[in-house]
Amino acid sequence: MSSDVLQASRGLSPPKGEAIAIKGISKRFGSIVGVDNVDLHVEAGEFLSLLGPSGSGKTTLLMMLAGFETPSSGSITLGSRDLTHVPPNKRGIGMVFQRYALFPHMSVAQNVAFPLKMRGLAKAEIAPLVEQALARVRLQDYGGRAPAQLSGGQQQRVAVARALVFQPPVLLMDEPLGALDKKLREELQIEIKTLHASLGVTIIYVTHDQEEALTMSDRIAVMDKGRIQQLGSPVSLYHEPNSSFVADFIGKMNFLKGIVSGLDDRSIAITVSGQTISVARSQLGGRDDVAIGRPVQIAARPESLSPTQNGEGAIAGDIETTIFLGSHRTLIVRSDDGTQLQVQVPSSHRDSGVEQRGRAFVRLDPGAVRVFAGED
Amino acid sequence: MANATVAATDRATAGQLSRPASLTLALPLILLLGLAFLLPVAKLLWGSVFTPSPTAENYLRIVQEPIFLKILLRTVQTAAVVTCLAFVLGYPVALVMSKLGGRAAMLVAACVLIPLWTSVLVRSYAWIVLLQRTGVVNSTLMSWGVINEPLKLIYTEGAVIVAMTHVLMPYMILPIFSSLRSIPPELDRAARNLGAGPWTSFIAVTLPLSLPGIYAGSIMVFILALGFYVTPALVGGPQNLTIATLIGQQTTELLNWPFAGALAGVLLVVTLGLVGLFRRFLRFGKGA
Amino acid sequence: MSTLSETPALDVLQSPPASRAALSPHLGRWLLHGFVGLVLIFLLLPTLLVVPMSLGEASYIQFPPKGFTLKWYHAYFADADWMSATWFSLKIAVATTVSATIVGTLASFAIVRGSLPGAAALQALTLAPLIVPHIVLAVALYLVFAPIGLTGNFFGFAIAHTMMSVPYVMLTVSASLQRIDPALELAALNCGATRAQAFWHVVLPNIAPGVAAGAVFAFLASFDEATVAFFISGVEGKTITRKLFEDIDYNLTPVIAAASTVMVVISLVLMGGVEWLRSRGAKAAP
Ligand SMILES: Nc1ncnc2c1ncn2[C@@H]1O[C@H](COP(=O)(O)OP(=O)(O)OP(=O)(O)O)[C@@H](O)[C@H]1O
Ligand SMILES: [Mg+2]
Repeated sequence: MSSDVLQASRGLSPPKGEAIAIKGISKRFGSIVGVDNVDLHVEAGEFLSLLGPSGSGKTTLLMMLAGFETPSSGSITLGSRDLTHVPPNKRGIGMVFQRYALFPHMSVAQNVAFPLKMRGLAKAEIAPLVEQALARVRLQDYGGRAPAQLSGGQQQRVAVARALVFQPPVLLMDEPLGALDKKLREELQIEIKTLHASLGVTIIYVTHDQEEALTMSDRIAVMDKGRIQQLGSPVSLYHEPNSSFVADFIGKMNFLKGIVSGLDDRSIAITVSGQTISVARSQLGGRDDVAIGRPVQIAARPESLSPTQNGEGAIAGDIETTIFLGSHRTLIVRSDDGTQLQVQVPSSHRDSGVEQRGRAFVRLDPGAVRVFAGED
Repeated sequence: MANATVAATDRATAGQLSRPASLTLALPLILLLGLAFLLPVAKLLWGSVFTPSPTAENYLRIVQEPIFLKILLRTVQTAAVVTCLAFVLGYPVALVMSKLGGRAAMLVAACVLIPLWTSVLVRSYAWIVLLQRTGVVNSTLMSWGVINEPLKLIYTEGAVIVAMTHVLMPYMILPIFSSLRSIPPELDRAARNLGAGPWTSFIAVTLPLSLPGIYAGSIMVFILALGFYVTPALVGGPQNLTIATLIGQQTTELLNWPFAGALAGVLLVVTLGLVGLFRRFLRFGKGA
Repeated sequence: MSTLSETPALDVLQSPPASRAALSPHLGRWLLHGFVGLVLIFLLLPTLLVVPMSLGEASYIQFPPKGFTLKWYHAYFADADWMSATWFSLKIAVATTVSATIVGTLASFAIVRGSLPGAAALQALTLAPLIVPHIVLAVALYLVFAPIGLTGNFFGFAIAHTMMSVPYVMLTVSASLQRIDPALELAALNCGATRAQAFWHVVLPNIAPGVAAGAVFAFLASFDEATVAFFISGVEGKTITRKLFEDIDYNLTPVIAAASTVMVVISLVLMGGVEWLRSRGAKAAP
């Protein structure tokens, strides 16, 4: 371990990220299942987010990677090293905690120096590495301060510097920006992304903010009930969710109830709010046990719904309210069969005939919806 | 959402010590309590029943001989009176302390904490000085011409009660103070705003909400008073035995260990029983 | 008061009774404060009375004390018995402080951060010496210590007093441990520290005020302890409290007042230290 750091301090090639292979890992707390048989392969240098609602097992999975929880079953491999039973202090994986966990009795520089001190480096070797790590997070002049004298964002940057100073191949972050306000969060997102790009370290990033996951990640693992529900790039998760859970969790989504009214080997006809649309079989997410007469759910993004003037082939309803959002507006429409729909309208659509109140007709773009069968 | 996250990261099991490691760290304590607490107390109680053949004689003696019953009753009565006095005198102190801020609060707190942290022995000695024939109270009263002859104050039941009230009052004040402190001040203001006078508001709001502190303080003072040795031994003298001084007498003078063990057993059962009953009110510690 | 002015309507409606009522709360408050003042004098005076009593000339208890002399302090410091009792007590208190602090801190850590079977029972058992009457502890310890030569013995005292002081350490240290963010320790481990290093470099500095307060409480609990000391002292090994006990009973001279004053001063200096630590801790807390 310390030889890696030594090499780095002598200016040899910086260590790159390493791959992590998680195989069949589970964690049970008595009868509660925190993580349920998760398989996950994280590529070297990848930025992977664990995204999911509260209690979905993200932290538990991260704690097992860091060595703070022992898996009930399964294994973890870093590069070619089996980590499953390695104690946390021997893993050499960096970690950033949600509330920073900076040592309050040490200065910023001492905090950052701590991992190096624990690795037995001499004082003279530590100083330049600490300086370099602080410079990386633009805090080179803050080494002498106490953590309590820094703002939340600065404290989190110190935590990042401390986790990276020993050049770990993998960095774990558990909702690192959860305690910060929106603007600061966006600033730090960019900063973390930049660091990731320049260091090539593998990052596993826990968040329950789907926007954050979409903007930062190479891939996202959406978790629920201790399992990975879907793993994929932000684009594929957004456009091709394979369950209504993922569809609902990522981005804004309308759900309409439909009945399968026709079927062939390439397309499906669905009756929804009195209209019949035809979708391709490839738009079917998850289980594909569709049959004529069965109910299905149609998931449509607000941008794939549009208001029209006439009711021909459109869903009729009443506008409940209009929300102005700068580049576009969102109409909240209550369809005649009671479903609430969000319809996105470009702001320039002044003359589209859409009223603030009153009747509206909403057209569905059949090519842009997902269909889920066999779910309620 | 954010709160749930914090709780999840905070949960105690993450990175907790392994079972063998925890046991190793707790081992010295377990040994200490086992050898220096459980074992001696068990041996004392054992000796009261097995002499060496099992007998209830020592326990029966306590209830059968009037002198011992009388001492037992006196102990309970003294403890009850001390508890009441400590409450009546201590509650107003806690009340004022909870309303004050800054220097005044610190001053009152010091008046309560200084006695708590000076030796009971020193304070009992002070009461001897006060209550002696030639003591402070008698000399003062005589010099004022209130009395001509010194009063017999020391070695009376009254002396024991006054001195014990003094010694134990901080244990009443501190729990009441902390329960008063935890009452949001808005409640009193709200009651006043609804037309209650200060007295009504006190009876309707403050007093009921400080009940947990009153229970805690009372039970603490009562059990400490029941088993108190130093003050009754010094201020009460041999005529005013309590169960604690009786245990002392049985062991040091009469060497009747089985009987002392039985008395200790009774005291222990009563004390632990009371603590068990009022467990939820008690928080221990000598600090504020 | 302020509530009335915040509700002008009520103020107007109730204005005549309000002005009459204003008198009685004042009176009530004066009575209350006067009563509390008297109680505080009752609490404090006997405690501090030993100071003037130790400075008077008369060789018996006299009030008010006449003259001013330090001869009773000379007598105290010159008396071999008093000195050996004082040193004995101090040695026991120091040993108790060290052992109770170490034993209590380690056990608190195991209870708060570990997975101990029966942790709740152990915690309850730890507090028992605070509840069980000291007279019971005293005779029970005598019964066990006497046959094995631990009465009047430094080690006997150290063991007994450690058992009686450990609860104070456990209370303050557990409270501090529960207040610190458990992620700090995890972070230290993640930085490569071993358990012991994480405890030493990160946990301990952050619970130091609690440990120090526990240590002071342990010292005082030992130094001021009278009942057990009365029973397990010997002719040779005698604590200052046992010596006080004997002299109060048989030999009531102002030397006792001088010795008592010394005890009070030691206690108050240490307690002042704890309060200082506590106020500093309160300021440092976010
Ligand atoms: N020590 C524990 N004992 C019992 N149950 C636990 C423990 N730790 C976690 N769990 C349970 O495991 C599940 C997963 O928890 P985890 O903290 O991993 O969720 P999370 O996805 O991180 O949630 P959040 O977004 O709130 O941080 C939850 O149901 C939780 O209650
Ligand atoms: Mg979590």
